[in-house]
Amino acid sequence: MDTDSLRDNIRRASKGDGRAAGEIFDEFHPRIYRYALSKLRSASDADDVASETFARVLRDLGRFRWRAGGFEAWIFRIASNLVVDHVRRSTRERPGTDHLPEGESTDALPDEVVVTRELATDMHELLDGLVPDQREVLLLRFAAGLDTNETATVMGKKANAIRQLQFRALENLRALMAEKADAR
Amino acid sequence: MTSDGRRDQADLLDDALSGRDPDPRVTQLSELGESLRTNLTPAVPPAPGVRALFVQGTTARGETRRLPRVLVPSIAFVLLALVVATLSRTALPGSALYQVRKVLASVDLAPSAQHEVDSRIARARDELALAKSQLTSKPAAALNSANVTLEQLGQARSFLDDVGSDGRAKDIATIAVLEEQADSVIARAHVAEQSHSPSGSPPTTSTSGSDEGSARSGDSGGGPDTSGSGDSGRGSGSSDSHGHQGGSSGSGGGNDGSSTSDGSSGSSGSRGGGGDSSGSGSSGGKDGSGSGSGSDGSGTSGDSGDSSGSGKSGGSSGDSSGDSSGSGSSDGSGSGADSGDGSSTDNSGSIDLGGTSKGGGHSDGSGGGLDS
Repeated sequence: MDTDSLRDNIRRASKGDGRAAGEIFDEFHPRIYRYALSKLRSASDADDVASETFARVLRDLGRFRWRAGGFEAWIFRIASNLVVDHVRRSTRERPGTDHLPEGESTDALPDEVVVTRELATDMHELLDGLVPDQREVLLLRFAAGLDTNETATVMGKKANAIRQLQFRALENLRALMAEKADAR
Repeated sequence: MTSDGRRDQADLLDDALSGRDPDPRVTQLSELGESLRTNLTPAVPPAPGVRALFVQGTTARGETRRLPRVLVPSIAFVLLALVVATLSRTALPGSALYQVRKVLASVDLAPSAQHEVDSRIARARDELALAKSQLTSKPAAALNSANVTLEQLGQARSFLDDVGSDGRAKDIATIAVLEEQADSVIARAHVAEQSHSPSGSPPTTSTSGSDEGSARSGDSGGGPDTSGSGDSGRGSGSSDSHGHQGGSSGSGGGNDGSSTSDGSSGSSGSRGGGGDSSGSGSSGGKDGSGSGSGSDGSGTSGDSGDSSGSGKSGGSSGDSSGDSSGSGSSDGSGSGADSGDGSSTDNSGSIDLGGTSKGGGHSDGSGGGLDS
């Protein structure tokens, strides 16, 4: 959804247009779910966060004003805060591979499912080796699908700082992967 | 790698991750990023329940917002109209809201002009009756009530333009009568106030015509009676003058020391050209022994006409003893007359020279009522 379409949908949704609200939901619910899942490692917790995020959106949509970063930054900041609250409540930020999603498609072969789950598990373990800011940048960029400016707005940093963080995060991730490969 | 080099590569990597062709220096990192993107975007289970709630909530929220959007301006408009209507219902002619009031009156939402005239006349009657009842006991209160009467009558007059021709003439006549009575009360209240004043004695030089704000065009000023007294011979003149109607009388006093004359007060007439008084007093003094008593120059209220007061005292010449030294006949005639034509807008009074006497005594017993 491009920016103009998104603005139009938000305007219509704030006036009670159900179809526009549905389009917003379809656009952002999966991204928020993935972001929450990558942070919490629990499908049910991610579901809770995503649902609660849209409850907040419903409550505050009338007060939303388009600023730098736009709607994406606003909704992911809500999601980010809810994730933090969730972690504080449950004190569970440790990886819980048991809660990872089942796989990409139901018709995937059992071997492919296993490989996918293993890759995801490996990737999360590697991400845990990064400092929090670097990990957050990668999650927002690749799990939530935000661009550099939106990520900067959510994290309260400048875009240049996000590019630097992203570069160092991927460099460190590559180093961690090399270390893991050497260990094997 | 220098910091500038890292910054350049960070920018190149960002470009590559944003979909541009990767620079060879950041190809590996770009591929790692794409791999990460793939691994972190698993299939998302559908959430139809949450979606339905969100859509229904948005729709319901829009409906609840639409209602106040229509209601609030409507309520505000109705409230404003009510305020204006309430204020207009008591608007007087000449005020900005009076036109609104006329519109409201045309649909019976405001009292009609006839009703306003009637109510004000009734109020004026009440106040006038109160003023009359308090005239002797509480002159100040009576004066106040009389002024309220005039105020009410003035307001009643302002509504007359919007009264039908049938009732207008009758109302005009009623208002005029009540105004006359109020003026009379005001004048008498002034007199009563002066008589209650602590000094007790009337001033030597009379002044009157203080209107106390109640005089209107064509009306008489309500001035107190004043009397003046001469020195010798106790001649006194009084004048009651206010406005155009001051009647006066005066009498010249005798010229002899012993002669006395009283030119007593003339009373004023009532408003409007009428009621000038004529008073005359005469005293005759003779040779010191004569005593004249000026007749009370009591004026009588009359309807019209100027008053003329004449007093004549004839004193024979003689030696006057006592104070007076003059001889000859004194002509203490007070001719305090003033014209009262009742039409002027004055509150200037006529000058009243009551009771001037010539030649007799060392002074004449004249009281000059000066009337401003």
